[in-house]
Amino acid sequence: MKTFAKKILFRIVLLTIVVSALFAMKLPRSYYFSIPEKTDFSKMTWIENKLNATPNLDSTVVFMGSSICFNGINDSLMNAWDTSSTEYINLGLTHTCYAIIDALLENMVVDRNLRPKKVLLCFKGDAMARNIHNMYSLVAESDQIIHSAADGNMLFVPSFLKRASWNVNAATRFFKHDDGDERMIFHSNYGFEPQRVRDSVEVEKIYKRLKAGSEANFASIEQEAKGGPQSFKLKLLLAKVDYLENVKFQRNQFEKSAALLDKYGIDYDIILYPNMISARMEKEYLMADYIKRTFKNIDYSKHEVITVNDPAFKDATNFVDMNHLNPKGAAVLTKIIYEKLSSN
Amino acid sequence: MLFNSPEFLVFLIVVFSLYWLVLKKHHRMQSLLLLVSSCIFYMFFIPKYIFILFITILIDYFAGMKIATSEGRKRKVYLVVSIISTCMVLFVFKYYDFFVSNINSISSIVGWNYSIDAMKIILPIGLSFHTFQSLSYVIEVYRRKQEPEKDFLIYSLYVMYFPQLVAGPIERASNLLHQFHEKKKFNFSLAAEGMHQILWGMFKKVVIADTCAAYANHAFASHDTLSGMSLILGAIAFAFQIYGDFSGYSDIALGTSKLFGVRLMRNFNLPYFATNISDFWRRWHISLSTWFRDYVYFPLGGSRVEGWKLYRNVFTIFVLSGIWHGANWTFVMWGLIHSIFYSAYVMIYKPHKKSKSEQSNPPSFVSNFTGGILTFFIVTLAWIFFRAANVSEAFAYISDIATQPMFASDTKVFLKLAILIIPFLLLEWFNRKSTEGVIFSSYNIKPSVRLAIELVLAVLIIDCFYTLDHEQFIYFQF
Repeated sequence: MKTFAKKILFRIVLLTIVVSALFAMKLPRSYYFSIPEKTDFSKMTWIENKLNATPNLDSTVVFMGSSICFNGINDSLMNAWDTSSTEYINLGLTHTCYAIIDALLENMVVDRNLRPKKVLLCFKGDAMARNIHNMYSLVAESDQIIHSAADGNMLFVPSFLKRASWNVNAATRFFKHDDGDERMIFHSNYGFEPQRVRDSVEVEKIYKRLKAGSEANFASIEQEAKGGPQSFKLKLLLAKVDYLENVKFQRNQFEKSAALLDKYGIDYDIILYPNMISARMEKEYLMADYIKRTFKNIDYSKHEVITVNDPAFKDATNFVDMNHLNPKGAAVLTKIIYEKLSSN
Repeated sequence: MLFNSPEFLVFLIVVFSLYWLVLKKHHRMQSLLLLVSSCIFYMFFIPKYIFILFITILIDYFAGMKIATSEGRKRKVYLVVSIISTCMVLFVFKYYDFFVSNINSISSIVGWNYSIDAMKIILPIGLSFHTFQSLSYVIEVYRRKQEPEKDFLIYSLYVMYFPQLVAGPIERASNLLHQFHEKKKFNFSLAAEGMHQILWGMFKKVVIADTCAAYANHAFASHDTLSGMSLILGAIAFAFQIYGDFSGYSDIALGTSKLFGVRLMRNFNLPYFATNISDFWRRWHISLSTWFRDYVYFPLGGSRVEGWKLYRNVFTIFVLSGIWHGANWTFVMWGLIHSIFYSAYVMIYKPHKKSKSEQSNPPSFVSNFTGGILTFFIVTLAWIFFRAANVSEAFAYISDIATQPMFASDTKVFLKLAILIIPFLLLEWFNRKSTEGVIFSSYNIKPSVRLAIELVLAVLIIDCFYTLDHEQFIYFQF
């Protein structure tokens, strides 16, 4: 048994060395960013190409975040409305993950030395980001992935192996079928992608299905805000969410992005994107309070948490699901945010 | 829990360590550990379905005891009760909706205003496998070839043993039960062989099957727009997908079991090197084909009967084998195709009438080679029905092969498959004399070279695991 264990251990060590060497290989960024091109995440390739062609962002307001930003902020409208030299660009991408946003921000600010006029960070109206983005290991540099372990990335091992895999894939991709879909490539001069319109009756059905869960979620946030002793069961649940679902790491990454922007003197605000349930329950303030309670290192006298309380966001005809706006809803949100930014 | 998931790796390490480090001197506790682990493994899918398994185990355990202690007609009654109750579970979960939808279709064709609601329940994972394993036990006890298992723990473990619980091999009581009774001592060479087999199985599943799956999925999804050659290569891709997938699974099952000192039966023996259709069925899913041979074909008279009865027997086992795979006409068609070609083979070559000395004359290389190509062609043709969503899609796929232009720009894309398949086939060929297909076990390779091969395989597995879409094991659905 001892010999068997020794031989297995020896092989594990050897494999770790080989995989680490593969992980450390640095291939051109263009390779990593060519991979999501024909997938749901093609916006990543678009962002990379856009930044490659951008000499500076000194007079540009940058929107960063997940699909609620990607499909919710119409930067072409903002650019049309604003006759000054200020420009607007939507760098939102599909799926919520603060780690991938942080990696993109670091590349933009540190590696490319770009200093946007303002950054609008995105926050989902009803929940924290969980787990990790499917494409994190492509967008993040190898040293960022290594550091993510120290930041509490519970999915560090898969992230590490994934990066090594994509490096090996550069040699083995020839015999793999390229099952990407040309139709997925995001083509636009602007970063906004309108969602396909869904019948409001369907949206109401989704609302009915998810309402109870969201109400419970809001109730627990309210309970947490009130303070007081937590039951053992609740503590266990919170620990599960924090560690097994990687939420603690996601919180660290959001705070890290804010700290990075502070360090480089870049102005930023946080947009709390509208959610149909919170709008109908008129509980938008709950997540704003959560942000202020959770991210204590952000100076909220300088950086606003923008909430939008508008009857339009109670209306199913503006949504495709609980969080995602259709083009009509996106136009309403864009107008509100634009006016907010112009008034500051 | 899937074999190709990180959870399984953790599970295996924990169970293996407890088995050999903590419980090595407590044989009964080792068996209990394997049973509890098997329950946990099964409950990763749909936990409440464990009760179905428990009831089946209970019925067949007592039926086995009763059959053994009864005489005359009573024995048969107990056997029939056991078979019916076990098969009823299979029928309700697997075939009821199929049966109902066909009744509804027939009644609408003949104009009856009659329809029965489908149950739309999720099929318990691996149901067909453990049902057949339980059936083989009671039949063997009935035939007095197997003593009934008195120890409920051991019998439960026989049905539930996690390495082969969800997709076989369909074990025989005579091979497995005595192994669970034997006291175990850690066997280094068996465990090392098991590790090599797991590695090779993972390679077949993650690298070969999942890579081929992407080509096959593309061909079957867009068959109306692809060239004839691409469609042929797409069908070949599926042939290798299903082989890599299922034989890979079996290798992992056999290898995992060896880690616990238990040898399972070999389920595949280089089926794509078969020289005729009969040879193919001696090499593909051996545990199922021998099950049908022993419990259906032989009782019907096997090949000793004359005339149409012989073809009836061939037809019966292949169509049953098709239905065993799933409640869909595509599987029936798949079985039917095999039965037609098998019957044609029997009709032309009459292997059952040849004497042993005639059978032992080795055929020429040319005869083997052409036979091999023809067999692969037939098997791949049948796979089209197996893979298609319905029978009309399968016919459309075959018709598109004939009617679309033979070559187009997409053909080049599919030709890349050859880079994967040809070296894999060569590797399998060189490995043909190895024990149970354990990679390079028949060669005296330098340890450093062996280590290098292991590392390359492991790196390729990691590569494909993270860069390809995961396909679930195909046979899990059966």
